[in-house]
Amino acid sequence: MEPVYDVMARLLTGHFGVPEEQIRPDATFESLEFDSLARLELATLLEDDLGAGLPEDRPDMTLAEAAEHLTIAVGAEKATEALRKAVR
Amino acid sequence: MTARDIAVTGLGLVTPAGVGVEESWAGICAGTGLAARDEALAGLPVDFSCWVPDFDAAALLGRRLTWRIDRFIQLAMVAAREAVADAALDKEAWDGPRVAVVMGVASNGGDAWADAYAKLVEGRVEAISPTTLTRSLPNMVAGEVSTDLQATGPCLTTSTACASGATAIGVARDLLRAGTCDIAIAGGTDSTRVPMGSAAFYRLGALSRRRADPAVASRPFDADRDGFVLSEGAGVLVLERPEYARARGVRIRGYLSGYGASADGFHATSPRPDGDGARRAVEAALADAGADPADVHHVNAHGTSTPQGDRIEAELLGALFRSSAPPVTSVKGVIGHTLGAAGAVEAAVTVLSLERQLVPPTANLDRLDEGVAIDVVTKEPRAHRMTGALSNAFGFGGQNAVLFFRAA
Repeated sequence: MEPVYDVMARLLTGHFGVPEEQIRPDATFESLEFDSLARLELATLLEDDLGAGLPEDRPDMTLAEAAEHLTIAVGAEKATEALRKAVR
Repeated sequence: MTARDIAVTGLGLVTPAGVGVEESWAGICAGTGLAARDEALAGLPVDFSCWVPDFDAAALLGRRLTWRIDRFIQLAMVAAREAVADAALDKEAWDGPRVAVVMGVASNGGDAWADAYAKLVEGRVEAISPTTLTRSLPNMVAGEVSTDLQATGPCLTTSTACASGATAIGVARDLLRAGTCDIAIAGGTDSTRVPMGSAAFYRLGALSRRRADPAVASRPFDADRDGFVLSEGAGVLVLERPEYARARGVRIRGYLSGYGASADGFHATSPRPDGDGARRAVEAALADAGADPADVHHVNAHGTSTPQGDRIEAELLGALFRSSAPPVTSVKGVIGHTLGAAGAVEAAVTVLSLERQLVPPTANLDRLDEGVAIDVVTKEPRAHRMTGALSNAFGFGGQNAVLFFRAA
């Protein structure tokens, strides 16, 4: 789970400009001020690279839960590889 | 000042001459053409432009905001924040519903559409960003500026091609005169400096093709001009009724006294050869201000550097102001044609000219057309006593907007 989480954190800082200090495993997308458009944008980026996104109706999902969801959905190795590609 | 004048209390500029009013003014007064080869346009028949240098949107606005708005909105937001700060206004303290936003834009920037279209062509529809529209729709300039500043009164976008910025200022003025708002944030923005923008204007034959020496490509009113230079930028004015501004104790930088609008009713891109549409807009602006041609002490011309447009404007100005011959300038020689921003950028420069009693020079003007009898300022700024000045803006579609300002 850890590598997926780390690379997702870089996507959040790199693409969305979320301050690093706000990115914690227990932070929710809601607490990171991700509105519906930002969640949709993140889901699009993830879908494009992983073939798996995040549930749209879970703004209360934590980053740890999101990483776990992605890991299960596509397998840890593929998830990490694709996410690395996404933030390059 | 007349009873119907509206006060200009804040200015904001983001231009190829610099980010900020003072940076832009200094660069415009330096009188050197800023066009150069543009990496963003590499490989195109016209591969040069003017652009805002060192515009670090993430540093100025924060990445939390910039990922979701295209460059033309970013430019406008920076200019709007500067204008509001200049007017000593505070979004935390003002009555938001009494603050209007009116922004002119000629076209959506194109960044988001280019990204989306590339994915569409690849058959990757699901990869197209859901923010493609919200990053790029023309109305989103006013919408995003309104949200950023919590200015929640009337919120409008005007689109009259290259007159859009001037039209926005005129419409905002009307909202203030009607009492619909107490403060108006009005201006224009554009960043069509993208491959499709250059290619499309090139195909229309509107752009200068002086690839060998881009710095002298934009040469308004010069006999050797061959088209305009694509540029980008934003200009914003804060407008208030004078009594409201005085009650706040804020410095009044100038007065918007007259606004005239007209349509040529003639052709999609060519102005009427007799300049009738433009003339009616100038006369309407003067009538609105209760002014005569003799009250026009300076003209900030539309002067885009196109062969036909400049000739018609020069003939018009020569005929209208035959006896007084006010000094004329076109800042497009320095900063190129900022399209939807031009009318607002030049309105701001006109206010500065009146405030500082100084007319910036027209870059690259070596030789006027034969038979043109206007006094164009060249080479260096000219000190000039003036209390009234016109700012002209004429757009595709034959859409004309002219503003008349008086010194504070």
